[in-house]
Amino acid sequence: MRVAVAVLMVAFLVACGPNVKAPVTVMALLYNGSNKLGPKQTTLDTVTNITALKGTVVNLVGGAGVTVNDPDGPDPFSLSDEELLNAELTSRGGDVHANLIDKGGVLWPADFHSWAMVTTYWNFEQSFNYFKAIYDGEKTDTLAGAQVLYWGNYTDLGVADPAKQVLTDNIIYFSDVRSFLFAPFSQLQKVPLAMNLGVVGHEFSHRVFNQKAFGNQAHPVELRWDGAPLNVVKGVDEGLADFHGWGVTCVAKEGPGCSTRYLALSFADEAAVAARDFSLQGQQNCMSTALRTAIDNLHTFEFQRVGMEYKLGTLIAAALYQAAEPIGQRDIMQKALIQAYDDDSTQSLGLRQLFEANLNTPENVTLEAVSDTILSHITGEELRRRACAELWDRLDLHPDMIPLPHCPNTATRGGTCPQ
Amino acid sequence: MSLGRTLLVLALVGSTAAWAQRKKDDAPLPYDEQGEDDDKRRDLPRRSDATSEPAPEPDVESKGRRRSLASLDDPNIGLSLEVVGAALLLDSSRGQTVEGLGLGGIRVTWEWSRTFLTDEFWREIFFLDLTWFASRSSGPGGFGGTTEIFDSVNYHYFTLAPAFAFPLGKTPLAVYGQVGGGVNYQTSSIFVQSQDSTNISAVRFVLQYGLGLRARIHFISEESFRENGYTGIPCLSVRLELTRFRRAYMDDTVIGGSVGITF
Repeated sequence: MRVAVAVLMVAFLVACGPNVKAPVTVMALLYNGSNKLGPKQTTLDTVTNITALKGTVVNLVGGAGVTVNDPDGPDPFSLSDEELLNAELTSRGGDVHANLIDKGGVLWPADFHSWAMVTTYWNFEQSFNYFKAIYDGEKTDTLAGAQVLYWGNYTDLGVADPAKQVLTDNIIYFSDVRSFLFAPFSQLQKVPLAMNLGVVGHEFSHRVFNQKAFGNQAHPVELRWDGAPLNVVKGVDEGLADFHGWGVTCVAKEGPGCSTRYLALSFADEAAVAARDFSLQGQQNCMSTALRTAIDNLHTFEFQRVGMEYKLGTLIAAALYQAAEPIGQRDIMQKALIQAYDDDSTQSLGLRQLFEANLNTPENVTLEAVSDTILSHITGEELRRRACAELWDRLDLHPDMIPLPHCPNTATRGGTCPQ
Repeated sequence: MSLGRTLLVLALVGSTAAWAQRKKDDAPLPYDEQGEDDDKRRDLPRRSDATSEPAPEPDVESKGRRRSLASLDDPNIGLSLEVVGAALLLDSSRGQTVEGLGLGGIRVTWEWSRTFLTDEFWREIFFLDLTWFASRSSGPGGFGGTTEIFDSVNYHYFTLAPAFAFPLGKTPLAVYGQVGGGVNYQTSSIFVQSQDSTNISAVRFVLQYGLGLRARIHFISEESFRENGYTGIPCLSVRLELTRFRRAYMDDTVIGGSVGITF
């Protein structure tokens, strides 16, 4: 009997998971010299539970579900943050269990989702490190600690076709529940979005935008707007996310290196990838009549349904890229954008202040107003001049009608796009 | 003599004897001193003799008589070979509770109590399973990955599990529970963007426990056995089981069964 008890005790001791402290040496799917993914040794510096993939940056959660736009549910604008969370996070989920094999002190994922989750955590860690750097000394406590609803179920009951109510092939930051959600892949059969460093950096940027430009509102009151003002806000959010996503690819250790085409890893549609490549110098990244018309006239629901926020975002990202990259001032631009989100100094108000000041006059939230807010936070004269010229040109701004007071006098409209 | 006449004569004799008896019963009862056999009754002992006890049985006869004949009634030695088929509900690494996979295996069962115990009850109680379970997940797919990144995983469980069975009356059925252990051997091959696969394998401790229903059905009828004796024809053994594995820090569940022959 004693022997049996001893055997069982040993069995349970052996059955414990890896109990390691950060930094944890793991294998993840990272980038090799030819910019392909492959197993590569790295460290997770912030993880506190390696099998559950929980740490100070993010906490992965499996089996969670979100349901939105329930016709029988309450108005999300009327709910407190906690009530909103309880109403929309319909399944809290539980811990993930990464299957890890210890080989000489290096933990190897032993099935697909374990590879994917370790790589996902690494992507979030790199993204956090990027923002921590460009926050430039500002506290980043609120950025950390989000949940990642891995393989989460996101059901939008507002979609008429029941077959299309469940989100697939996407990853989002959903501020209502203050969580990232990685939806199951279905049609996308390349690199899953959560394993795509640039995409994760893009989504992390949405969390930054929510916390700063929307003042960390779970369900921002600005979403009550509709049409042009909200279309502009959506476009700016996407454009800055593209720009930061690219920024993450530039600085991540064992990353792919700077790539504005990071979407190509996950999307097979080459035309769609090229349409989001904000580094292209031709006229494709210029305001078109169709986009201008969409911004001014479409309801935001329709604007987003046809993906116009991404088109507008690409133009904004292209302007910022062409302003900074040729003169090697990428990091100055990145830090300027962080400052531009939220700044209550009288000399240069931030986007948050612009939005809050115009809650009842959203028509004042224009591309010119947003551009000027960004320009006001760019410190270098040359960079600001170049940024003004690019934004003016690519967004087809009309400073004659809506002034850009922070555009230097030396600035003229750039010459890439037709007038 | 005809049958009718014979019956008539018997009836007349019977009625004459009955008349004579009735006449005797009607006679006056004699006084005690007038009894014919008074002297004989006084000669009887006032107590009966003690009941005589049988002679002690010789030891050799006693042991022989108490020896269980169970092994003669059911002479199988209790060694089974079974094929396992089941659903493996693998601990979901992505936190979806379980991942459903098919599982197969081979099991050797030794009902060791049939060899070492002679009591009709206890010899049906204990057995020992030596099992190899195997399952495979091969991507791409929701669990295995995408067409560009996928993982092929093999799971092998080698376990030794003592069991305790409780026969259900005189039926061929028995419920059982078991706890055992063994090892899990897992291989994993990750394929990324058409590059050569990277392989990893590991051996990890496994704790096994579970419940089940086991049936041992004789191929030969009892009548045939009594007439012809045991001719080496085995039993059909069938099992339904719920088995769990504690695989390192993960929990897997097997729901299924097995079928085989028992010698």
